[in-house]
Amino acid sequence: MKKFSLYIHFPFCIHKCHYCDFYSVILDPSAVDSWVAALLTEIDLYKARFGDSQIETIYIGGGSPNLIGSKKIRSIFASLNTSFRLKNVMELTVEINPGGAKPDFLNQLKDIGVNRVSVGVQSFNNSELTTLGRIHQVEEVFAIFRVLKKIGFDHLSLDLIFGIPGQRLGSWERSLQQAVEMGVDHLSLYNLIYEEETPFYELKGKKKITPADSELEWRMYELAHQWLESRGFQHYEISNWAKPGCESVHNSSYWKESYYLGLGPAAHSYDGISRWWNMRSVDAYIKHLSEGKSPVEDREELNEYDREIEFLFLSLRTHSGLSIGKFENLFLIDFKRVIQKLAQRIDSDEYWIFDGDSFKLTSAGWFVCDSITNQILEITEEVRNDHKKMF
Amino acid sequence: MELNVRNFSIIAHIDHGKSTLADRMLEFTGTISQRDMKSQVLDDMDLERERGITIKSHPIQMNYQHSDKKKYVLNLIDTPGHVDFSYEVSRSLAACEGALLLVDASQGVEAQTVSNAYLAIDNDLVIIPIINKIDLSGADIDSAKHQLMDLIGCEEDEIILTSAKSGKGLQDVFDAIISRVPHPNYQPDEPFRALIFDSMFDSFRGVIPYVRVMDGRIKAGEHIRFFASNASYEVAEVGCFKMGRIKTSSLVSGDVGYIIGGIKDISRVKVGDTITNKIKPAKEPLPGYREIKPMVFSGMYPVDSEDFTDLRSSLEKMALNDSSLVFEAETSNALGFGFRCGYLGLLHMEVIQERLEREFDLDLITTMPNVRYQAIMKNGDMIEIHNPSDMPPAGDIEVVKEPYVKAEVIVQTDFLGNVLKLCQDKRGIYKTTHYLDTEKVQIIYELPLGEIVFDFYDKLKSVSRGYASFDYEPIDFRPGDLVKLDILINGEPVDALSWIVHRDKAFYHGCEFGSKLKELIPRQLFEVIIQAAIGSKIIARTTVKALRKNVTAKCYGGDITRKRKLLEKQKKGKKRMKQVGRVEIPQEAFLAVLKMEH
Ligand SMILES: Nc1nc2c(ncn2[C@@H]2O[C@H](COP(=O)(O)OP(=O)(O)O)[C@@H](O)[C@H]2O)c(=O)[nH]1
Ligand code: SF4
Ligand SMILES: [Mg+2]
Repeated sequence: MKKFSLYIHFPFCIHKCHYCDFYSVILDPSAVDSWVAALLTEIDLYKARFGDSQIETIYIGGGSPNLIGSKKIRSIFASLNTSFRLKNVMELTVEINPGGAKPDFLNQLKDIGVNRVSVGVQSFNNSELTTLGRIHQVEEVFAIFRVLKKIGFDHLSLDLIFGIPGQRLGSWERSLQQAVEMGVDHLSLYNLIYEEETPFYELKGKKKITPADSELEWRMYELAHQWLESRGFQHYEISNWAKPGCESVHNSSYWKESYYLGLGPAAHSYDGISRWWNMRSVDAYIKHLSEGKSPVEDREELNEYDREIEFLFLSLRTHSGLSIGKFENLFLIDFKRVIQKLAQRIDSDEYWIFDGDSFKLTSAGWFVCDSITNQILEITEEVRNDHKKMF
Repeated sequence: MELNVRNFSIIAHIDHGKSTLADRMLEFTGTISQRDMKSQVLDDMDLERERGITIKSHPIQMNYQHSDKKKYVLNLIDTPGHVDFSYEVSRSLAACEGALLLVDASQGVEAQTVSNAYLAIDNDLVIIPIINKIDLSGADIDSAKHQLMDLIGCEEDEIILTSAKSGKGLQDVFDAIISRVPHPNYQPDEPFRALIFDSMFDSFRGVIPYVRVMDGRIKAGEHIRFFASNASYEVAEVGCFKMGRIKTSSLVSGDVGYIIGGIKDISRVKVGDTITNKIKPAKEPLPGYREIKPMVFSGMYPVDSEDFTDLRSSLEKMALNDSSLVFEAETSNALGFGFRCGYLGLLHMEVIQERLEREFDLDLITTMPNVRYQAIMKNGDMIEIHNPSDMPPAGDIEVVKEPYVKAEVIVQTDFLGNVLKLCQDKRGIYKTTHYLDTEKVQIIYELPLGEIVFDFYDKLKSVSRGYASFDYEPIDFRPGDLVKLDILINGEPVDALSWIVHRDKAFYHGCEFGSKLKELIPRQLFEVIIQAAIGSKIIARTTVKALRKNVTAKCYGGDITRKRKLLEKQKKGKKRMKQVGRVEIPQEAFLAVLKMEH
């Protein structure tokens, strides 16, 4: 592996948010110590294989990585430095939760070279934050941004959620406005998902909360698309907006199928040939590594068909869309014919733009992107079958 | 020795305890070991066990030692009770000399008690009347007795009391079988003749006819000939039914059993046909069965059009095991190539579709059922219509006729008013009332079949708190003010959704149907307009709004695998949809009519 991105998963939070299905457990200081020890062992495990490769980006996510603590983050970086080549890291992001982020820790981040901080704001409306089960309130967000700006990170990003039960279009617009006023150069906007086994999922099942109407969610998405674009943010991926030049390099590595190595429980990796992932359990992760065993839970080698699906849906997520030439070369299919058939099925110019070289989804297309992807997959099969019948 | 054979069926209204009585008899005779025993053990089809009903007749042989110290061979056939399967019953009866007629002591005589009793009388069978479930606290043995005596004209002391649950009265049942059911007419030296009363397809051994041997005998190595198809085969194996097929050395006049002859060509075997000896043939076939006419028709299409030939061969095999199923190829603009199938009723239709999907691993679309119509044309021609889309233009038709049935309802007098009202709502013509006793009454109505195939039975149950029972038989065709209701989706008529309805109800049905479809058709990437029309007149319109959202944007931490699997799952879900024009319509939509209020 020549160049790759590195992801580190810190799986602890002070409290579980109601909608959360990221892998994280309630903070337990002694478990954090063991996690660090395990992580250092895992870094060591990969040293032989990746020691010579260039790390381009590092992303520390979670969980709530602001709870790692200053000393421990330093020792993690010390270990990374001895095992991998960090000289050319161009983007080093740490995710933080406004609830429980300490100025001292943020200063540390700057010291060890972090140049991008992504803040899990989710909403600028206190009652929405309560609904979501977040531990922070808007005042803490303001405070955190004052600190972050004072420290002077190169890039700041924040996350917001739309489609929160009870959220109105006006409140969403105010959140967007506040977000921009925070001085960020990057925004991730996620539509709330009711993931199985979360409290929200149960409440929805028992009809104790009413999910937002999909029409409203669409209007929120479209509002963000237009409003942010008019303020200089480009909608460069299905749920990401950035000022020109401030796109997240790390996130893009997922969409562009670059290689990445994920460390920590539940982290995912990809080396161009296969995908593998760690156990989704802090205890198992720690136990395996402490016994010198690999914490990998499973891996899969991608076949031609998997690659095709992935290439398709990943490129459709991006602003630059799917390159016809590249797709045709990789997967040997007359993609123009596919688009032609797609247009017969869906007689509408609302969802995509096709300029002969690339096929791009509009924001309306993105919001129904699973349907369109499925249509394309189905038509692709059809075109291949027609082709077989001809010969 | 052959004087010691007894062939009999167990008949009754549904749930009166036929299969349970069979269980006790199998236990009593040691035909089935304690270990293999389970409730309604003869109901061996998955579908029968899940639904708790008998769908197929089940023949089984028992060895029984009587108090006279003689050994008897008892061939029992357990039968279904539901009206849709009465043909199954009537075929079984032709293989028997006697019938055990069961009546639930807490329910008394019900509609299929009556119809099955008549079937047995028509077949000249000895009827052994039995009142079952006498252990129930709600048992009213006296009323049941009087109703039974009234029905079959028997004496009180002929009636046996049992509890199939506890086994009480079982010995009386065996005694009656031995003493009252005659041994079959024993003519072992006549030329071989056997009646095919059922058959099944075995992928290794070919078609296996189930027979009742009337005359002569047969054994492996001999050659048989089928009267109807004239095909002949060498017999590879004969045997009888225990828990499964048991090979025997021969079958003789009076026996019930099966014949294996490596018959691969399904079309050669017809239930009701007679098998004879090829070298020493009988002159005449046996009387066979009356031709059974389907009551309802519906289209059956493979979800994946590539499966058409599979569907054809599966239907052929299914028809072997269910001789009341008829089918012919048809094409639909919307659904492509498929079959028009004829059934004896809606339960029959459901059962066939489920059996096809399970036993042959097919994915099917069933279109809405309709009865048979006759269009009398202006030029005097008569066209029989099995499919609404075959209806000629209204201008060419003089009159459309629909089938009528004679319906018999038996109900507690308390609910008489409700039942009469229901029959009236269904365009019924009142005929007669007959009091079975002071509490129970039998009502006869003439009703359009089209009004009762859908939800009449459910309605009847609900207006009578579950008490009423019902049976019907076709009588004739009568003119009706009928119109064809078409459904247009995005302006295109969908032939598979057309429907023939009474003019008075057309508007209501059109609106109801439209909104049902709206519920069932998922949002698509464009607006879908659903219209109901009679001729060129649109009577109802509704729209399915365009899909706004279908995205799982989160690809957190590079978990691409999950996202891919999610897409694959969505894609699989789509497989159960049929693309009609540009619109994807789910399978259930084609049967939406059944989910409506009628
Ligand atoms: N209490 C009681 N229940 C019975 C008796 N015979 C059958 N049943 C029950 O009645 C139901 C219907 O029985 P089943 O044999 O399936 O009836 P079938 O439809 O006539 O074959 C089952 O739940 C049986 O357990 C009986 O003698 N006493
Ligand atoms: S802070 Fe993030 S990871 Fe932690 S519980 Fe909330 S949503 Fe989940
Ligand atoms: Mg039964």
